[in-house]
Amino acid sequence: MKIRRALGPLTVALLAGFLAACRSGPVDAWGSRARTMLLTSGPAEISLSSSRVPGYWAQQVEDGQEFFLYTRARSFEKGSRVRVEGPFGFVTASVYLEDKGLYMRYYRLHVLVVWRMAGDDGPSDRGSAPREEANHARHP
Amino acid sequence: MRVIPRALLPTVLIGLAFVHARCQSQLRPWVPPQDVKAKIVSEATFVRTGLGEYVEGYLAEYESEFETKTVFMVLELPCYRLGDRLIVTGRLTDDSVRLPPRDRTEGRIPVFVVDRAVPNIPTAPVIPALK
Repeated sequence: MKIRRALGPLTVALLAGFLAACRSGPVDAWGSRARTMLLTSGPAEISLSSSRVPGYWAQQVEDGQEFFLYTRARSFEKGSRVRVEGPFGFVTASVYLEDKGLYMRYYRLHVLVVWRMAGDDGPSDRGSAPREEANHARHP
Repeated sequence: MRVIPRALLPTVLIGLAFVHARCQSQLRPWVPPQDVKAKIVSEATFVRTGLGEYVEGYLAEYESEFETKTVFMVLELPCYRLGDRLIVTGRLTDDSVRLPPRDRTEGRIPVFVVDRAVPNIPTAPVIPALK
């Protein structure tokens, strides 16, 4: 009886922990740490659940991971280095990849909702990146 | 005697519910996607289909069984231009659109939902050199 009484809360705690682990995605996805990205397109659009989403295609400088940066900012240019903050998630969207002329209805990609975006003066292109700051999407 | 009808009744009711749901359902059997070589023959258009959906796309033509077929190609991002030739993967639906009459396209035009499209850039045939 004592053992059962002791095991009850432990089991509940373990189950709660297990459920929390299953529900949450990668911890990093919800972090809003700043990331340095290289824009691989000019202003572009994707279609998420039949809604047009404006932004830029970008590559994370650290690991080359492809992202779509959801932002209404239109002043950055292809090839710019930017510093972005915001959460991201894995989605399936309709996309048009301009360099290949390819349209895909079900394309899996990371979309980062931009909270803050600013030009990043990296060591390689110091002075060439725009200094404009796009600060929006406070409530994604 | 009473046990058997009591056991059968839920099964019969569930069966009837399934039959009713199947009859009411708008679901269609899955159709495998097909590859076609299409040519866009209109600018991007936003239309309402016969089943009441609002879609964007192009009128396109492709050849099938020695016939030129005209379809309304649905793309969520209208990224191509009039006259572009594409290799398109997608499927015909039971839906259709009615557009203002053109030279060859009158009446209801079937809707073709595009899953994937790439430009069709024909390559020159390899002709062996004369000996």
